[in-house]
Order: sequence, then C-alpha cells, then structure tokens
Amino acid sequence: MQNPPIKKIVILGGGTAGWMAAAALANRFEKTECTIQLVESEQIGTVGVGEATIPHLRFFNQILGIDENEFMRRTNATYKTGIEFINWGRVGDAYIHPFGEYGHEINGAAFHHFWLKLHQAGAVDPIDHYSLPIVAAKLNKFDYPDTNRRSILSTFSYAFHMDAGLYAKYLREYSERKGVRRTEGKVVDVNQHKSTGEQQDFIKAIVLESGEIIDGDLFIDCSGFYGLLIEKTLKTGYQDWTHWLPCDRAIAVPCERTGELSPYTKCTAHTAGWQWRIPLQHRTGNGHVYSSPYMSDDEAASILLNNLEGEPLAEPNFLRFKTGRRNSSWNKNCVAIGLSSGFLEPLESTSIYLIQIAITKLLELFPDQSFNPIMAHEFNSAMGLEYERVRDFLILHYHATARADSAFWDYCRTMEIPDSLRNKIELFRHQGYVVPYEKGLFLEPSWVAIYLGQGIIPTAYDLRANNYPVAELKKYLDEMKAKMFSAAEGMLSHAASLDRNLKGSLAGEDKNRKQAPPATMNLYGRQL
Amino acid sequence: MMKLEKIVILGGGVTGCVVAANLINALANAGIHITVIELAGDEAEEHEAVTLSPFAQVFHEAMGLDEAQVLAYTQGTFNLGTCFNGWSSAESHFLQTYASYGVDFHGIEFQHFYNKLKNTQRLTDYHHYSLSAAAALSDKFCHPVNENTSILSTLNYGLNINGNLYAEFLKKYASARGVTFKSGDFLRAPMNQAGFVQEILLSSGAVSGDLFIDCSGSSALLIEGALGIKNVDWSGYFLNTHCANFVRPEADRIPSSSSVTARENCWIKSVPLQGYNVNSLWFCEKYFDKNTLDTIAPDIEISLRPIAHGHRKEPWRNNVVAFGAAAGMVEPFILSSADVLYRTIQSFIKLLPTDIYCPVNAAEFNRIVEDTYTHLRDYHLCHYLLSAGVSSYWNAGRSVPVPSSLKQRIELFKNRGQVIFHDGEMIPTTVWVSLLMGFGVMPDNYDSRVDSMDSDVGSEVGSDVGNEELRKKIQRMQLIIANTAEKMPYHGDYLQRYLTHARK
Repeated sequence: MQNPPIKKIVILGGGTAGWMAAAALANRFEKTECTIQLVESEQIGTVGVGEATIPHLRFFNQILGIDENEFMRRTNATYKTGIEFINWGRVGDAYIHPFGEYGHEINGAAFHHFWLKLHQAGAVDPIDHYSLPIVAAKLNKFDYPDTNRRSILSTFSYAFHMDAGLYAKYLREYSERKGVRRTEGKVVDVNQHKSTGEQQDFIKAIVLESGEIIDGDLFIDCSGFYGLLIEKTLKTGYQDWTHWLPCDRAIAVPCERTGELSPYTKCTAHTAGWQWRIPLQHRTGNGHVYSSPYMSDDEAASILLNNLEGEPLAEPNFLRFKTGRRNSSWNKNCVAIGLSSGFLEPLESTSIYLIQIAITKLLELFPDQSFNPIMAHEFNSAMGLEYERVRDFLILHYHATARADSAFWDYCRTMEIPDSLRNKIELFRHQGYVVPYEKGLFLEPSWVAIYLGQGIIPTAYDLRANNYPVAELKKYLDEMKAKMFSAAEGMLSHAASLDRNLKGSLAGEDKNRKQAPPATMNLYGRQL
Repeated sequence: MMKLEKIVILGGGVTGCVVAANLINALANAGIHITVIELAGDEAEEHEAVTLSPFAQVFHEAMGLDEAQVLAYTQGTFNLGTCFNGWSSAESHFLQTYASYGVDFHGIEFQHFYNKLKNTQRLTDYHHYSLSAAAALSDKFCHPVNENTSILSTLNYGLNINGNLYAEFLKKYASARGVTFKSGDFLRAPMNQAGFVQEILLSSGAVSGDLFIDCSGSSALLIEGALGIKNVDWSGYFLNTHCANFVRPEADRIPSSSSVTARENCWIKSVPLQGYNVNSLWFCEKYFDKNTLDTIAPDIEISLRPIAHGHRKEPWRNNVVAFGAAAGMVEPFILSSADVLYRTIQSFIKLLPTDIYCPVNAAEFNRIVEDTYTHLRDYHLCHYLLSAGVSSYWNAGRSVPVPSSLKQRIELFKNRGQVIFHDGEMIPTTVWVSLLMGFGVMPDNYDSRVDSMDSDVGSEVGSDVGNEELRKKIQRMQLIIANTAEKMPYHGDYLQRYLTHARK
C-alpha cells in the first residue's frame, strides 16, 4: 500500500546544482502538497561549475518548458558542436571531439574501420574531414540540425557555452515563480533523528545562524565541495581519484572576446594541466586547470594570463578541488547533487550533465516517507557508473600521450590506469574495437575521436573493411568528404545564427524564423 | 603472426548454418574461406521449431533475405508474441508481445498512467493496451505500417520457422556465396602443444583451418571434447532435466503467437507453423511421470532429450569458438537460443581477429556472452518465481536461490513500477514490464511525474476530474486498439495471400 509521500524538500545551496534541482523539483511538485525550500547564503560564493555544456542540457530545459532563445539571451549563451583538444597527444597536435558521428556504418562495421584501411594505405585525410560538426566548426559555421533524418545536416547535435551564474539566477526566478521558497542564511547546526530504528540519524532539520529551524523530509545537499550534510553530518566518505587525474587546482579569468565567434570549446594542454577557452556572447571565459605538485600557483597564473586572446576583465579566481566521488550520493534521507557528490574536471564539460542526470534519477526513484533503501541503492549504483565512465574517459586524455616534456606528462603517460580502461585501450589498439555500453556518457564516436586524435592508431581493423578494394573505398570517402564540405560551406556563420535566433523579432513575427529542433538525450545527432 | 584465412564450422544444423550465412554475408569479399562440416547428428539436435524475435529478425534484412521466401521455404508463420496460459493462476491467460504498450507521454512510460488509474478504477488487463496482443488474442495479423500516426505502426513481430528447413535455406544461401559444405563422421580434432586445434579428422578425410567454430550442439565436440571447457552449471536455478518434442496438426486457425502453457508438473511451448504445431514439453525427471506424456500426446512420436542448463564460461578459447547449444542452453520463452545466437554472432564478427588468435578479443567476446546469458537467466528465472502452481514441481521451482540482481529488479518494480535497463541486455524494458504485469505484479506506486502532467489532459490536477480525463483518454486508446484488431485479417488468410502474392 502507499506510504505517506514526501511533504517537504529542503535544498541546501544555491549554485548551479541547487537551482537546477529546485527548478526540476518545482516543475514536478508545483501542483502538489509537497513544498520546496532552498537555503543559500550570499556570504558563501558559488563555484560556477563550468560554462560549457553538452547537448543533454537542451533536454533538461525542454522538460522545464524553457524557451531556448530566451534562455540563451539570459545567459549570454553561444552554440557549441564540439571540443577542440590542442597539444594533447603531442605538442602541435589538434583534433575536435564532435557532437556527431564520423561517416556512417557500412555492413555493420563502424566508419573508422574503413578509414583505417585507407589510412594504412596512406590514402586518406584526417578522420576530422568525415564529420560534419567538425568541418563546420572549423569554418565557424553553425545552424540548427535538420530534423529530416535523410539530410546530411541532421548528423550532429549541439549544446551551449553559457554563464553558469546567470543560468542559476534564471532558474531561481523560474523556481520562485513555481513556488520554491528561498531563505537567505548560513547553516550553523544540523539536527538528526535520535531514535533507533530505520530512520536513525536521518536529518531532521537544519538550524540557521538566525536561529530559524528548517524541518524537512528529504534534504538535497548542493553545498559544494564542503558537503555539509552528506559529509560533515552523515560522514559518507569520499573516494580520492587524484592518482589518476592529478590536477587539483584551477584559475579562472574572463577576457575580452576577439576574432570570429567559434562554435566550440578549446582545451589546450600545458606542461602541468590544460587551459579552457569558452566563447560567450559578450566575453570569453578562460581557465587553467593544473596539478599543484607539478606547478606553482604563480606559474599557473602567468601561463594563463600570457595565453588570453584579449584583455582580462576581472581578477583571477583561484580554486582548489579534489577529484573523486562520494561513496554514496544518496545516504539516508539526503541526496548529494553537484560538487557535494563528486568532482571531475571540466575537460569534457560533464559537470552540468552529472547534475542533470542525478536530478533525473532522483525524480525517477523519488522516495516516499518510508525511504525504501532500494531507491538509494539503485540511485547510487547508477550514479557510480556515470562517474566512473566519465572518469575513465578523462583519464584516457592524459594517458594517451607521447608528451615527455615535463614531469607531469611523464607521470600521466606511465601511471597505472584502471583495469576497465586498460582493457578498452588494448582492444582499440588491436583492431579498432570500441567496448560497447549503452548507459552513461561517451559512446563509440567519442572514444574513436580521442583514441585517434591522441595517436592510438589500431594495427588492424574490422575484417569487413576488406570487402572493398582501396580504390573503391577512396572514391566513396572522397565523395563523402566533398558532401560534408559543401554542406558546411552552405551553413550560416555561428555569429549570424545567433543574430537570427536571438536578436530577431521576439514575438515570432517572422514566420520563417527557424525553430530549435526537439531535444533528446543523445550526444551525436542522427547517423548518416 | 598467422593471418586468418580459413574458418571451419563443425556442425551443419541451424546453428552452423546461421553462423555460416552471417559470416559469409559479412566477409563475402574479404578473402576468407569458410567450410561447414555437416555431422550425422545435426538434424536430431535441431529437431525444433525456431522462433526469431524481431530483434534477431533485423539480421535477415542485413543478409538480404526475402521474408516471403523464408516463410515459404520454412513453413513459417508470423509471431506477435507469446501467450501465457495458467502461469499466475490456473485460469490466467495473458499475451506478452515484442511491442510497446500504450503510448508514452513526455518520456514517462505508459505503465505509470495505467497504474495510477488502476488504484481507483476498474481497468481491462494490461495486454489490451497493445495492438500486437489484441491482434494475437484473436489470431489476427498484418504487417506494421511505416506511418507514425497510425496505430498499425506499433505492431512488432518475429517469425516461427521449421528449424531443419531453415538450416537448409541458409545452406543454399551460404553455398551460393562460396561456403563449402562437407560431411562425415567426426573422429577427433588434433591440437598442437599450445592447445590450438590444427585440423578436424573425419571418416571422410581431414579438414584444416585457422579458426574452428563449434556448432556441434550439446555434444560440444571441440569446446568441451577437445579443450575440456565445462558448462557453468545452472541446475541450481532451473529444475528441468528433459525436453520432449512432438508435432501435432493444426486444429483450427493459425494463431499469430506462440504459447507457453503451465501444466501440473511441466510446461509446454507450442509453436504454430503452416499446417502443424511444434511442441516442446519441459519437465524435471524427479517430478514428472513419463507416462503422462502418453496422455498429453497420445499416439504421437515423441523425441526425448536430456538438457543441461548453463553456459560455457569461455565459449572462445584459443582458436575455438562455440555457438548454439555448444555454448549454452536456455529455455524458449519470448527470447530463445536463436536470439542469443544472432546477437552473439554480431559481437563475434566485430571481434574476428586478423591474426589467428588474440586473447583480448576472446576475453571481450566471453564477457559479452556471459552478460547475455546472465541477463537471460534472471529473466527466465522470473517466470518460475512468479508462477502460482501448487504442485511440488512448481514449489521446488520457486524455492531456488534468487540472484540479488533479480531480487532488486522485482522489488523496484513492486515499489515503483520501474524496470531499470542493464548494459548489454537483450530484453527491452517493455518486455520486462509486460511480463511482470502479466504475472500480476502490480506496483504500489507509479511515477509521480504523472500527477504533474494532468494539466495536459485538460483538467485540475489531483482531482477526480483529472483522473476522469486520463481514464477517458486511456479508454479511447483501448477502443482504437480493439477496433483496429477487429478489422485486421486472420493470420492464416493474410499469410496465404502474402505467400501467393510473393510467388507471382
């Protein structure tokens, strides 16, 4: 029979995670008896968890009923169809990890096998030339993907670069409109159930500096690295992954935007970490992620400031973090979302995705007052898998390198990596096989992008590629490439698309204005 | 490194021919020679009807097989799903299909809407919300249409075919594309010191090769006979020790589904083919009096064979790879051995090594196969755990240890109406849901997002009006399904027209 439902949700922390959670919960419980209260303190700053996103965020916004263009105007957003990695495999290398596939499958075998056969014969362009989002990105072109699945213009998806602080503000308005109560204040104490039994040590209330006591049934901990409820109160424990991902600090600084507006994020490797470049409408976000045992703060700051495209617009902001994951994101009646549940550096723009997926899972497995442990168990194993899969993918970027120009790269190149990843690399190195999985992030095209982009070139390929002679394959791929380039040439520039979509008539007077296509939980768009 | 040039398939029954046809389709011009060795026991081993689910049937398309030709040659029929008789109670009766049920709204699965209403209203059984089931309940069939807005686009079907004729059909396909067929009595398979099979010695001569595929059925001549790899034994989970096959003429109309019927001490699968039914009766020696067979199938020839539940931990070792019954055994519920076969061949082709042997490829293949069997084990076990039979046979079937993965699954469904998809699983979540609902596992809760969605059906939320709107909407859906099923042609008529048309 039905147990009593949750009547009161308390969200602690009002950064990106807190307001995303508030918005999604408000949207779901708006018309019910369940109330939502968010507690945040203006004295405690928030960590903008990265301003680059992946296409899944569009799905989140769509469920909330948010108008994409309005969202983009409010967050100074630009479009994004991939990430460029510079100096990773070797100094001087560059490749793009696209939000789309390469070519298309032939006879059940993925495109890269056919590309590999030609590559061995010395008769092929870089694989980048067979992916429309890459070709278009390099030309600074962007337009909405076509919804007609037969069109070559349907073979990619897109995300945004945005100001995460403004996004949180925007979602705060949304949430408050839908009845979320925001309380300003600092937490000074946490009350737990003393009774023995199933609800022992459950969180009962948080106590604010003002003396106000806020009761709740379910507590969402979005208090950042500190993990005020999940860790300081419930002592859930943390797995440290620094030995695999040794970067532990970052410096962020915005600067003036110069040059043509590009539709992709740039990640440039330095001697002990890497630098991000995120183009927004009004400025460029920059940051340097580095490893403190291998580089001082001063050196890191000077590298960052020497590699800006324009004048800095603010003082550098110094951040510290420890890469890893909370042992359980859901413990008793507390669910940690965002940095309180784990941290993975923003190399593949996964922070906001991990928040989104935690919120989605929580809604799917939403508890009642009995807090059946089966929900927490399922949530924790699903989130564990999400974090570990992203982690392995990130480690690959550091490990698959020939760089030997610093102690940092020597360490990364030679470190022990998780067995799960070592096995994946070996299978690819042998004959281009990508270990298949369906849950979580980064499927075959992404793995292929990083492997090939960072110099893991298989010695063999799928035998099905041998069905076609080199000359025939070459002709086929040449035609494909020509189609990609001509389609890309025909697209609007990124800046022009932004102008058209955001600055055009607001109330839809222009009937011909293109609509954003429906969002899905897919990184890649359609297959050709 | 030795290059892979010659593949030898030991066994020319359904398994061997499916493997040969898939390999030659994938590697037609890749410079690899394939030989199939037909064994005397092939036919007996495969004395069964084969049911291909739609998930396996897509590979027919990939091989360029014409559906009408396959059906005509193999005395085949269309199959919309499985009818369960007497499982959750003596009178119970439900249809499980390959298709989805109802319509998902805003990414929330239909069962949650159904479960919400079920708390306050009388609703007709869950299977009435699937056109495939409604059609199968009255022996109707037609092809799905490729028009999203039509209810007919929701149909999803597989094929029932005669195993021996299917093997023959695929043999022709493979021969025409260059596969060599030889026959003989198997003598032995000499290996080198490293444990690699060098050749197969037959009464008619030797066949050498680089890679050997064991399709010799449960005798597992290479994987067990030569390499000594034993089965992971699942007799602790599954009681049945024998399977009896018998054929009966079709009584009346050809059903558009197969059926599984629970009896007191056994269960019987019945697969309709053109003009006859192929039946397999699954039982456990300990609880079954073989004389019962005479009452169930009097005056009919019955072939009886022992079965061993389980699978090889290492279906690929060195240069030997096992498929079909040589690799593992599962009972035929909605997904069967043929589905496992098709799925694992696709993984195998991706991992076919350029050199003769690559241990990392073999390990990856073995991992995929093990996952496949483990998921199927949970799924099949679920049938027994939820069964309601009161005899000692069914009691024993329910008293086996339950893997925690399955426990978690059932519990989550009971609690939340949700089935979580696992990586590498063949069974779609909709198929899990229809099984659980069919067995009468009614969730305590539904996804509460359903409540915040009532405005979409145009009413105040949480109120009775909201429920009323939802009820009307769902009732309308059910009516459309019932009316459409009513208008569909009978399977037998449709099949005849389809085959006649194709012959012209």
